[in-house]
Amino acid sequence: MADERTVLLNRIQVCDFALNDAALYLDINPDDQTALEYFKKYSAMRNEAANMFVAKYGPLTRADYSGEGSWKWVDGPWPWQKQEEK
Amino acid sequence: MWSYSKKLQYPVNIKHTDPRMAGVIMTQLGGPDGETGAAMRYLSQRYACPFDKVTGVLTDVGSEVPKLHIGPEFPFIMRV
Repeated sequence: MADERTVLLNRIQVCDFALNDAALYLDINPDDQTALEYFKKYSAMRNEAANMFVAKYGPLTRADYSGEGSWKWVDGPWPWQKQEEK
Repeated sequence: MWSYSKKLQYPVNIKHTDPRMAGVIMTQLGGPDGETGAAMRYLSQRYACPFDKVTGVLTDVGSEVPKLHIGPEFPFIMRV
């Protein structure tokens, strides 16, 4: 059973992948209502997961700073560093 | 990896063209000792960096030029 951090991060990754693909399609089909609905759905899902992730596990981007007494952006581990095996 | 904002980082207003200057700028941006190569080196150095704070700086500095390449300033530079 994966921990909550892994579940949230995985959800963000899945949504971002879907959003990226949908955005490429929408670039050349900007009025496709089905695609717009799809983008809206995954965008909301992504934002919800990202807000939960950032609140508990620290920033995903520098802009996620929300008033703590320390700049957590520079805290490791970075994504390419070995995490403890779960 | 890069996220793009549809805005200028700094206002650009080119008043006259200068092809020689354009060549200098293009080389400084993408040439053999240019900013793009430097950015790629910063981003690669992160992977062997033993200090989290320095990793943060390398990430942020290395991200500036790729943002410039895909940023709206780029066509202005091309038009110099």
